Amino acid sequence: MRVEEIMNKRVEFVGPDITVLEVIEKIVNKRIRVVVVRFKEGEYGVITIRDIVFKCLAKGADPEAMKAHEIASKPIIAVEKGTSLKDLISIMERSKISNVFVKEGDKIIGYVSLTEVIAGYLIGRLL
Amino acid sequence: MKAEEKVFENIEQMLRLSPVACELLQKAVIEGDKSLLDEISRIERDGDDLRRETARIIYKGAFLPYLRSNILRMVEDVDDILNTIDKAGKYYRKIHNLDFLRSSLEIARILELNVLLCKVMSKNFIEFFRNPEKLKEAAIVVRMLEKEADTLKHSVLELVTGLKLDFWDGLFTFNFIESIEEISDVVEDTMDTLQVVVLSL
Repeated sequence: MRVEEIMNKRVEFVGPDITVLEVIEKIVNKRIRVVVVRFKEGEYGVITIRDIVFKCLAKGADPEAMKAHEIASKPIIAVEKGTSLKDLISIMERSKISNVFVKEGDKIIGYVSLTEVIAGYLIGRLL
Repeated sequence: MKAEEKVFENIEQMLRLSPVACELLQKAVIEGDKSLLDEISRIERDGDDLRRETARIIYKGAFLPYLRSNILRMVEDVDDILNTIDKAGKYYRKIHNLDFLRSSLEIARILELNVLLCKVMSKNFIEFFRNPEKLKEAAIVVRMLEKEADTLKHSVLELVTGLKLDFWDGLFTFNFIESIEEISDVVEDTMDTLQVVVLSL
């Protein structure tokens, strides 16, 4: 099974200067867990709900004043379209990350989280 | 062929129709091609014929009496998958402004999930009776995918409320989105009934 078969194509991009509160709003409204911060063409960072809690809320920072670029993790870990599920799992294990992005050239076309990995693994056994 | 075997063969045949109908609906929406919807209705009628024939075999005495109601319920659940796909197609046919539906990643994903769900059911149906462990795995997959479809539906409905559509297009777009998500619900119901049947057998 290839990453593009299981990836989530709903990648939400935000600018580096929007506030963390706006990121929270986007995550809640769109029912997602990850947003990508686009710094400039080809340069991205990632914000997960974990980043919001640990890098902003836990430190007592004001989400209305803090900017997205302050809590974004950089660089993002991405694999090329066509990567196998097995290789993806080993990258996740090695890098200890739960979200890996899928790119086609310089463009991010989706992401795979641990949930998608489990679903993809089971679907692969059944189909 | 024994009557019981014929019943299972018919149910498998009905299940095999479901991914075909789902793929047609997916193609119709992505390409904006309503002509494909006629084929979905034809598949739904084939499903009806198989349901009637299967019910007749059961009433004639296939299976022990205590099993019959659950088997018949499973036949009806599978038929309901085809009915729901056809219902979604019928709502889609009535929508004039298809731009949003064609470009929405959420809609595309729900349609993709429906194809996957139907494939999981149809490709493994007979195997489920031989290997209940596989049924357990499939039940987990069905629950996961159904939950994803449900989340996507709520997310896409948020977006629909911001669209400028006339009343009827808004209504049919809403009904269409509800129906494509309902497909995953009905597959989940079928899986629940199937688990009861496998357990009883």
